[in-house]
Amino acid sequence: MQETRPAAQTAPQPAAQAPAQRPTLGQQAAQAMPHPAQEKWREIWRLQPSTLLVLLKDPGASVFLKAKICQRLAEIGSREAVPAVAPLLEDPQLSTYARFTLEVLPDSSADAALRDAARKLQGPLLAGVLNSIGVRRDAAAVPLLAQRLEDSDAAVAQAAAAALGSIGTEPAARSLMEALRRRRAEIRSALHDAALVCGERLEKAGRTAQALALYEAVRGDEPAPPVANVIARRIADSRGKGGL
Amino acid sequence: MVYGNGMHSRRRFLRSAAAAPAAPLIVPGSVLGLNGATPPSDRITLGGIGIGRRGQTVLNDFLEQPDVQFVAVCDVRNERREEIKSLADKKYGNRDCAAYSDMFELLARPDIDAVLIATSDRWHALISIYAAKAGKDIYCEKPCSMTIAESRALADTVRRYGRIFQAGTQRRNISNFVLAVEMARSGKLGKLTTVHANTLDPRTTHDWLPPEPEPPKQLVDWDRWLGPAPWRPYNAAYIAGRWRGFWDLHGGGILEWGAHTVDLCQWANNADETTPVEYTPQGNHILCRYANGVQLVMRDTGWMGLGTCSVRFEGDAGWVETGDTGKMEASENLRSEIQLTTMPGTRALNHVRDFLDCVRSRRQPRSHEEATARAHIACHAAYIAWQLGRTLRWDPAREEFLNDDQANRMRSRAMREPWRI
Repeated sequence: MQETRPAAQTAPQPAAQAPAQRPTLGQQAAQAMPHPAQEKWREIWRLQPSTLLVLLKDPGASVFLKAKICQRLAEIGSREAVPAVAPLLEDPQLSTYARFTLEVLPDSSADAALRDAARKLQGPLLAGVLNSIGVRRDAAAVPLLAQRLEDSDAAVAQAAAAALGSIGTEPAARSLMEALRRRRAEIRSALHDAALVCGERLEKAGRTAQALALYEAVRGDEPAPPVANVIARRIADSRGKGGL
Repeated sequence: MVYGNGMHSRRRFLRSAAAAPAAPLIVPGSVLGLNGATPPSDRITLGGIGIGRRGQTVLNDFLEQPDVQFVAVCDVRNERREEIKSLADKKYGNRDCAAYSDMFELLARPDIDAVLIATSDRWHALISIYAAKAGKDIYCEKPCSMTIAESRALADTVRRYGRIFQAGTQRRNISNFVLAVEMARSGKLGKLTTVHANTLDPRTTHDWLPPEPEPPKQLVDWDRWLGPAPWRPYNAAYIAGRWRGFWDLHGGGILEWGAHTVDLCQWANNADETTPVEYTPQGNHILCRYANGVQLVMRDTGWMGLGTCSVRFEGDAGWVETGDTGKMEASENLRSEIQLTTMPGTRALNHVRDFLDCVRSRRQPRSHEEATARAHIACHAAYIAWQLGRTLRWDPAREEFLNDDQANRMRSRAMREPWRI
């Protein structure tokens, strides 16, 4: 008895592919979801974490797929994601998505990955990584950030200043004061703003004298009126709290 | 007139530059025969950033005010820049309104006192923060943040720099809503038990629209349009207004109306300095509980037909409900208290006036930064509970979820480089 097969299965088959030419997992995913507009994020959300990590490392995976995997990994919050996500910090289209994951991951390996990237990257991608270091308030990154304060790219130096302000420790404050002394015009306002944030952190930690020293350094740099007003108020308040 | 915080460098300059110290530089308009008009030197100078359809409506309310001079507009779209410039130039009969594609050029102008921010959602917190740092007072359309972390950073920065901030939650200055809130706060409803906020379908999508060729930067600056949102390929539909519903561009249906209605519920419960402590999703409704025992219900169904953005406040001695039609309904014992308002809930006129008065007096306007941050945080927390599909408990002092690491990771998200809050 002749077997009836669907037309698709009776059509001529292409020659068997050599193993090296087989579609990668990412290409298979891309074929299943051939166009970004047709790629449905819900399908990605249903995948197991282990599958997500395999797909993320697959060179054939689409930008959309990788982006959404990073978002999903941020929700899952597993440290196993770090080695798979970290290389994407170098990708202009995916760097933010990689930072989605790393910025919220509760593990020191995420800090290490961001610090590592901060030593290698430059330009806007580096600024983004420094921003994430600031969000995580990684105190171990202070020496690295202090170096980046002198980066020739002003946007990078500004990001380093903001991160130091956010970290808000005494070493961070010292780095900001040293940078203030160098009087680099392009980063002055970023330094002033970072000093205000850093000072708040120090005051909260009971380091009023250190905060006051930072405020005095900003005042000495003759900031623009918005900052000058805040600084004048802060100095008066800090002195009232026995900061001197 | 007193201006606090050393603001308004332009006016300070004009005053200090007066040749004769004995003669006041600012002379009332009536003395100059201006028939009550405010002389140009004493007007609040306003800049606008991202003025689209809603922004134009609010801008018109600003332009109606005699003490406002609109001097500059910034937009990443050439077409919109020109449209707003034409509007202002026509109003003043000159060609003085400056047009920028870079907001930092506008913010750097020392002669601008305040800014109207009416971009789409993803930019609101960030531009407000930059404006505060530049010493500007801020009227910002809602929703004012995309995340809990943005909400907090916005309020902290505004406070740090001593600026006046008014969120575009204008129902705080529309009489039917104000009356309903007063009835709740004054005890006319008895002990407040439940406040209801009209919200929309919470859903957003993580998908992308199909890629299209990017237009020239001078026509549409796609990179700047995206701003802090993560990269996605260009599609003209986004800039034509179809950005709503995409998770990284839009806060979702809870925040869309909750920025107004949850905000009013917070106010009614005297909770401008706190938020609910528990969030339980039930379908598209979120049941929330405050520490004082009052329940907040975010819901998109079951209203009395009083219009969009409805709110309902219930106490053990009565209830009141109102919405954007201006009509009110109340329990039998309170019917004599209620009134009909003719101003629609979308009109910002009173709210704009409140803002301008506060710019002058340095008082807090109705929709100040802390009230705004707390109401937005409540909406974001509710949305996170809805996404996770489980009850979440929240610590309003530490602003973190209790015993839920996954929910806590969703309080913030990385911004595209080089942007940061």
